[in-house]
Amino acid sequence: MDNILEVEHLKMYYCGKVETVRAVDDVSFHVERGETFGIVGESGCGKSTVCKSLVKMMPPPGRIVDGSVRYNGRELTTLSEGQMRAVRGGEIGMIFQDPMTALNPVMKIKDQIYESLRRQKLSKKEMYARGVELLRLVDIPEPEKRMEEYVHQFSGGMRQRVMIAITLAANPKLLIADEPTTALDVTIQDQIIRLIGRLKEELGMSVIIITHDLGVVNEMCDRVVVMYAGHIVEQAETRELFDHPMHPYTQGLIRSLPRAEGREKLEPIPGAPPNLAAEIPGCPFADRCARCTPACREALPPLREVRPGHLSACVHDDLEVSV
Amino acid sequence: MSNTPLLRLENVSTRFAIPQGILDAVRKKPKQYLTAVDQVTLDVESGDTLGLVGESGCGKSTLAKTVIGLYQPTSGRILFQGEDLAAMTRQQRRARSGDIQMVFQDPYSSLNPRMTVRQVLQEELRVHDMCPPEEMDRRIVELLEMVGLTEQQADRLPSAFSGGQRQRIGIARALALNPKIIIADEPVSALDVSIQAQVINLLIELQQKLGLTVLFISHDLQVVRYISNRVAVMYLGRTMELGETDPLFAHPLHPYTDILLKAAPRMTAEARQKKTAAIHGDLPSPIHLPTGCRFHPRCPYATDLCRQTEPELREVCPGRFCACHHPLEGGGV
Ligand SMILES: Nc1ncnc2c1ncn2[C@@H]1O[C@H](COP(=O)(O)OP(=O)(O)OP(=O)(O)O)[C@@H](O)[C@H]1O
Ligand SMILES: Nc1ncnc2c1ncn2[C@@H]1O[C@H](COP(=O)(O)OP(=O)(O)O)[C@@H](O)[C@H]1O
Ligand code: SF4
Ligand code: SF4
Ligand SMILES: [Mg+2]
Ligand SMILES: [Mg+2]
Repeated sequence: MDNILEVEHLKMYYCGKVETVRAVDDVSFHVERGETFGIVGESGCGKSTVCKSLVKMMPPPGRIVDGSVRYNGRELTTLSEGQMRAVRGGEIGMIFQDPMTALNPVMKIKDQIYESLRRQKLSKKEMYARGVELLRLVDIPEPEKRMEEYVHQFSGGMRQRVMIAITLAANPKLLIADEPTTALDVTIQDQIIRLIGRLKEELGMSVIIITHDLGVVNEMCDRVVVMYAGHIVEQAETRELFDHPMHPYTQGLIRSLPRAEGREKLEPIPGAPPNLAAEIPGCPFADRCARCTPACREALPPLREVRPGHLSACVHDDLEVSV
Repeated sequence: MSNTPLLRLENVSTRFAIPQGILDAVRKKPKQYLTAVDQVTLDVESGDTLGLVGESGCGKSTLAKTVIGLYQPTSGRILFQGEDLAAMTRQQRRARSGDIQMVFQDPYSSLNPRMTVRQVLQEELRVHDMCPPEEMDRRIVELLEMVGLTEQQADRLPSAFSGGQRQRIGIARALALNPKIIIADEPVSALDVSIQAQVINLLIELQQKLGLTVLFISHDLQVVRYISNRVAVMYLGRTMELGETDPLFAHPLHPYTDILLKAAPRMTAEARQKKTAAIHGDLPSPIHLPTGCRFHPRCPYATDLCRQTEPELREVCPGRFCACHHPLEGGGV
């Protein structure tokens, strides 16, 4: 079996007192062993919610309403919190957009790394050596000195490196990174992108990258899904997606970005994404879509193969346009 | 640089004192300063859209706030139509404040949550005495329509609008005073790309229709390239490169510009082959700047001269300014 992760019909709703937000609504995908898999979409489309529900870290009132998440064939949705904690601190590692929320401001870096090493039953000396090795692995200069410091003494890019080092300490097989470079400057983002790419190869990990940046997707991911309003609307290998975007939303996204080459006029997508607390019977993109027909509003168009290995959730199948 | 540009900054510096601990004060340690904007010289011609790019902390917002008078520059002149704003009294400055208006990055925090759009615009018009009361409603509708909103939306609170719509309200407020210059500080950075493009196109349309001059601040090179006809690249408070947009992007002269361009993630097939980062090392502390060229610790071309002597911004070829001892031949690769 060569999928490290299989997600089927996952629904994660925020079931509040006044309204239910359908943040992830019937999402299915898989991650192949050794690949870098991307989830891309605009803010609020449910990217972070997907990745939180994979490891059952939903903030209240979030609930997995339906569906299955299998890691190496093992169902995760039914695990107890204790069992899940072992998975999170072990085989599945997570890094976030803002490392400060995950790092402890009053603990020395080395103690935070030791925490993550705890399950490996190493001696003090071995832990220290491993800590230094990990900091060196993520390109932190003078790692011995840095072991004794606190996060506030680190720049934004260094914090993200430390976060990665701490996550790697547990030897994860699957790394989930939620917008790991969004808060960083471009030159630092560039460094972190290469770092994650290198670590993935060296350590033989599979990686899920969540981002809103199509450039980041292109440079990091082997395969990608595009999310819109809690749904996956398109799925393909990365180059296939950029060369032949099939869903009107993906096409619109690409056309709204200024290109590095040329200066074609930007074509924004009109309007704004729908409110996920309201029931949307048909295609969630209908209100903004130039190709919308009455049929689009009747039922949710299912994801179907429109080119080899390329899925799109749109009623039309002649939608390939050059963008 | 030409004779009477609409706005000219001459060696403008803005310095902040670093708050000292009590112990340091008792020990009479010398005060430390952070020079957020360091001797910046810039011309903005009428009708220009000048893009200001650079990484976080390089002084873009400080420069903007200095120009609109939220900060007093430590030295230098800010000439608006030839008059030095930095030398004016508060009152004189206030009388001029309508000419230069700002649009802020965060459409959420820059609007009062308890005021409707109509009230926001009314207040702006009334305080600056820009509109007789009987004209008020008409003018408000005109402003709303200019930014793509409708009269029906006028009596809603900011919370009823999306991020992109709030940014439109921010733009309408800036336009209320018929400014000559709009300073837009990361006006689209908080917005999703599909909405970003709406606001960028709106700014371009208004700029052309109203003959506005725009100082457009962003960390996003492609957005700046799209919207600006001239670009200034800043690094740790200094202008590193300044020139017309197309040649600057096609053939950057400054190693920093070149590296910024290479670092930005792209959608091309070639970009996927990139294995090594464009640049190593972090931004140095802005309080303890490197000697000589402030970019030298990260620059692949640094020489002894660079480590010792700070390069001046000079005209390397006609219309192109660069602060580097060894400008790239014919621009970078
Ligand atoms: N009021 C202040 N007091 C002290 N230091 C300040 C103040 N405002 C800004 N700074 C410092 O001045 C430098 C320039 O800051 P500024 O906000 O102008 O940068 P910026 O280019 O706008 O960055 P960003 O891209 O993050 O918005 C930074 O080192 C910042 O920490
Ligand atoms: N704790 C929460 N309670 C209620 N709704 C939430 C919560 N967190 C996120 N949401 C909503 O769920 C949707 C998806 O959010 P999120 O997964 O954070 O999106 P993304 O990561 O793609 O920006 C949004 O509509 C958001 O407002
Ligand atoms: S299903 Fe209809 S509304 Fe939805 S993306 Fe396709 S054409 Fe547009
Ligand atoms: S002056 Fe020297 S160190 Fe500075 S950018 Fe030019 S070559 Fe690099
Ligand atoms: Mg998120
Ligand atoms: Mg700023």
